[in-house]
Amino acid sequence: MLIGIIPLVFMIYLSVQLYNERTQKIGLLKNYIERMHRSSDLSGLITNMQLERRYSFDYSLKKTMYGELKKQRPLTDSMLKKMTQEDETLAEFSSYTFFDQLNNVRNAIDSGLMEPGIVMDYYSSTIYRLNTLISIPTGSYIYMRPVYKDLVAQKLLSEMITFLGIMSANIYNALYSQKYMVEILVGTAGTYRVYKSYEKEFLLKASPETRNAYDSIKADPHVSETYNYIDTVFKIFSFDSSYTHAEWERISTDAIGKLSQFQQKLLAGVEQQTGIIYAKEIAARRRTLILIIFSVLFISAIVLYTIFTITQTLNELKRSAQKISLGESGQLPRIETNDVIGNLAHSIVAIDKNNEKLADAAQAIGQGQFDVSIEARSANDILGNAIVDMKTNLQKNTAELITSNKELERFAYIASHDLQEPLRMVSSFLSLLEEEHGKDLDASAKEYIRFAVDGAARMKILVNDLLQYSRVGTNKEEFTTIDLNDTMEYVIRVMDLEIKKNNAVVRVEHLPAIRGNKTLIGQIFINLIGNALKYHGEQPIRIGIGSVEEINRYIFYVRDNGVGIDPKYFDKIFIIFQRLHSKTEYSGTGIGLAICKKIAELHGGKIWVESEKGKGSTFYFSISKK
Amino acid sequence: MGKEIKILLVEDNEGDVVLTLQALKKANVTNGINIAMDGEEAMQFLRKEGKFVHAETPDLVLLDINLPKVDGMEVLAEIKNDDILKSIPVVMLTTSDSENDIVRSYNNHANCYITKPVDFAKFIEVVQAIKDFWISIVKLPKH
Repeated sequence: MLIGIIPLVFMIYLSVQLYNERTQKIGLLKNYIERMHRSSDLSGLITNMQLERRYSFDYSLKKTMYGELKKQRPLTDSMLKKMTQEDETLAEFSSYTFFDQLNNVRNAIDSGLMEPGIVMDYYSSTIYRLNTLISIPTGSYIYMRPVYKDLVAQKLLSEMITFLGIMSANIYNALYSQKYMVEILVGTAGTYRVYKSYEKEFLLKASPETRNAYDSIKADPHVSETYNYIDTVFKIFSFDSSYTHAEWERISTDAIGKLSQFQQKLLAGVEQQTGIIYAKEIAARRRTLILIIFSVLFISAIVLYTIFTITQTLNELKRSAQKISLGESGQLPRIETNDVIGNLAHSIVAIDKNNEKLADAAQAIGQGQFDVSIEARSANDILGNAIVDMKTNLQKNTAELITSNKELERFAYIASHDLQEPLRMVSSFLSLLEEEHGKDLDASAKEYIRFAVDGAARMKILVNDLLQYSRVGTNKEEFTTIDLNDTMEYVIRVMDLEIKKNNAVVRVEHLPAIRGNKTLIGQIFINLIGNALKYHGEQPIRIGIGSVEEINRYIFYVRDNGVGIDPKYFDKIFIIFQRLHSKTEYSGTGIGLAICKKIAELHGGKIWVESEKGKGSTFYFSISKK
Repeated sequence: MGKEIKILLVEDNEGDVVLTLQALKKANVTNGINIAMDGEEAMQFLRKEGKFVHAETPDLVLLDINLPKVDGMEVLAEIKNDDILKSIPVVMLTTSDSENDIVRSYNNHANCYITKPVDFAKFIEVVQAIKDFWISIVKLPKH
């Protein structure tokens, strides 16, 4: 999150800096434009004052041009009013430019009380002061470069016009009065030198276009005449008779007017160009603002998106971790990055895979596959160590159990086997005794022998059944696919004699094929049918055999209409040596159903019974399809 | 029976020896019966070793499985792996009716496998049948 915010803040900072800079620049430009505007106004005012000076001077001298003077005064006033209204910084303007005396001067002129020389002095002083107010800083700002030359040029031109005006007024005065001519020339010589230096500077700094325009103005007859006459006067340092004062006044005023126009045109051009630069800067600032807004939005979106993505990823990881904590597996958050979150995801995947591996191992161990490789991930791996320990313990216990079972089976086998030998001895020698020495024995002795032989015979059956029971576990015959219809055919053939002896009706439904031990499956049916024949009731024996298929197993049943079994004995009958009847009622060892149970369990199934006393029993056993 | 039949009975149980002799007697076989009490003795007899140098090769071997020292299954294997002895018919006569024993016996080329009945009368019948089949019916090579 922090990583996203840092560039955002940095970018916003930079953008705001840029925006501020542009704003400052725009402020400066605006200031320039205002000053230019004021300079333009001042120039206008100067032009008007020059005209009023000329008419006032004429009127006070010869009482001519009064009409022009009356027209000019309102024009001067309106220009002056405009200036003082627009610019309030000109508070001391009136006293500095002597405009506060304008009305008194005008009244004195009208009443003919003012000397023409004083009139000339007043107006020239005012114009001079006005000229000093035209000040445009010509700083070398890079964005002012396009107008810089014109700006400087018009400024120099404006100075030139001021000094030109002073010189022409002094020359006029000398020509008119024809007095103090040398004094006037001496007094004006400094002005001439300053004027000349301004012109030189102007020609140096002005652009070629401006210089050309200036040259063409100089080519104007009045302008060139004015220039030539001034040069001549200050060269010969006396006045020749080329012009009367009236002629000079006419041509020089026209020349100064043309130069003023040219200067005002230049200034207007600069003002216009500066306006264009100003507009460009305003547009640029707007673009900067848009850029700032866009950047903020864009970066905010990226930051939000990143935060959202990280949150989502973390949530996914959280869910995975929660599921794993609940023991689920298969949680594989697909995050391929190499950052902290990616590593976390990898760790969770690793935990999950390990869990799955451990679960598989545990399952395999549970199924007795002790060759499965299992190692603790580290010394601190509680789960791994527990499973390793479990495997070791289970393997040890299983091995012990297998050994013990084998020993037990071996014991049962040997016991029953070895029991046959002495039994045979007892039975055989008793028979031999009866056969060989029967004539020496009385009836009771013979009966004792028969009891003994009968006991031996029953013990043989018992031993044989035990042997069979012990063999269910040791039978190593492989599981094969058995067609149970064939098996039933064999079973019925084996039991044919007994079935016929009991007048029993055995009905067998079509049976499926299963996977199992052929001998043992035959045995289970033989035992169950044998029981059905044995425990018959009063009615003729009917036995039904069939099957039901389920998803994972087959269920087989052997149904009879015999004596039935009390429900409280349902479990007991499957326990070895458990008998419900005395030997005199029904013969048997109590092993048959225990064998059936063992066979069913060996085939992944179980055995159970449903019965109602006196109405018959149905024995069910299931065989797993696997 | 004009012809003298020679039988080697390999049996460690004295009772069984008596019973078998009795049964054979009832089947009219009284002479030419030799008895070995364990597997080792049986092999010495057949190979005419030690005290059996003058022993005669039997026409039929009745062999029990549970024997001391060398058991019946080993004796059977040795007989059937011996080029001289393997033509002698061997009848496994034993208490065991274990499928395993039966299969192993036939795999070792036993000529037949008979479980001793508990009932003495039945045992007599069995011995009678052995005698009838192997001595009277079956043609065997002359030694």
